[in-house]
Amino acid sequence: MKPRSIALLLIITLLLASCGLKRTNPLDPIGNTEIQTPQTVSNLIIYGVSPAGADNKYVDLRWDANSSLTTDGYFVYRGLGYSASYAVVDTVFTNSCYHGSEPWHQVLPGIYWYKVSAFKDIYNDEGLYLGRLEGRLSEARPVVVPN
Amino acid sequence: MSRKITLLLLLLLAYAALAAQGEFDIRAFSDSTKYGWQDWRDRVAYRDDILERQQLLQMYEMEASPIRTTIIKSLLIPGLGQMDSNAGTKGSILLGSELLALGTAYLFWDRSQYYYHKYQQATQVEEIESYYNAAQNPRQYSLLFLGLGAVIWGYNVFDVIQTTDDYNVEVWQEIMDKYARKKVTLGPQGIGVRF
Repeated sequence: MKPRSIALLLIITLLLASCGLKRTNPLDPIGNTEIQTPQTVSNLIIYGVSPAGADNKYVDLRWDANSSLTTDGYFVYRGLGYSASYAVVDTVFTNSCYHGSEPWHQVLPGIYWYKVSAFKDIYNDEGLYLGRLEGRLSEARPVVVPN
Repeated sequence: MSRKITLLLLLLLAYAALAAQGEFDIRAFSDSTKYGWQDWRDRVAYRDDILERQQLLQMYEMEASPIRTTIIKSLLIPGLGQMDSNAGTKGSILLGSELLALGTAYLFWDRSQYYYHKYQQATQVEEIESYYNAAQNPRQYSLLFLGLGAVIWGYNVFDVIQTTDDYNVEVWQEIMDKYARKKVTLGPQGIGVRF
């Protein structure tokens, strides 16, 4: 095989390899530059915890509100450890969460870690709903719910 | 009137036939010396030689690999043409390499598709990014191995021409060697012995 043919085949291979994947996810902010990514939630604090012996256990969380241009609401996550897996325990539309106020909130005595993320409902130019884009999770905050 | 014309035509034909007969030189036609033959023995020897060559050519055509067939075989299944041309090891290596390259390409593509599907379903910014990155690397490897497969395939097509050519030369050489070793021949003239 001639060196020129080998070089040609290698160039074709490299060209093929350089082809990137298409960003087909309609919520992908890189693929769709019109989308504004929800800001990361900042200054998350544990504002209050139910006292020892309280019948209704709760955790009161507060954080800085994001701009309404980028955020429609917030997801509140809870995990049993800093590096444990987190699950959404509440969805709120203000910059605070009184976790334990609703019947489906299960707040039991123990140590928990909370994180919050912002979300934005995305629509296309024709007003068609594309989905709910969620931003990055905030720093985790620990809380001890006393017995 | 028409009878006269017919008669005239017949006469003309008869004359042409006679004239043609007169011009044909049978001696010149049967003169064997014009081919370099001195007598009938030379002519017989020449004929025997032609017959033997035809026989060798027939043997060659039976044993040789037709280049067009081997190219088509190698185009369809890399290495198959080489196997047909008595280069089994080379054919197996080419086929194995091709299967390995394509198999690896498929595995990487499959892994890439797994993450790409997750990317398409993701709604969280971090997940979107991480799944996209996780899908992209195997996709590039997949394309690289696919390219390697294409290179092997291309080389295989080039090589089958050379291999078939070499094989056919070898076949012809073997036939010639066998013919040269054949000391006793049976022909129309009887049994011949070559020393």
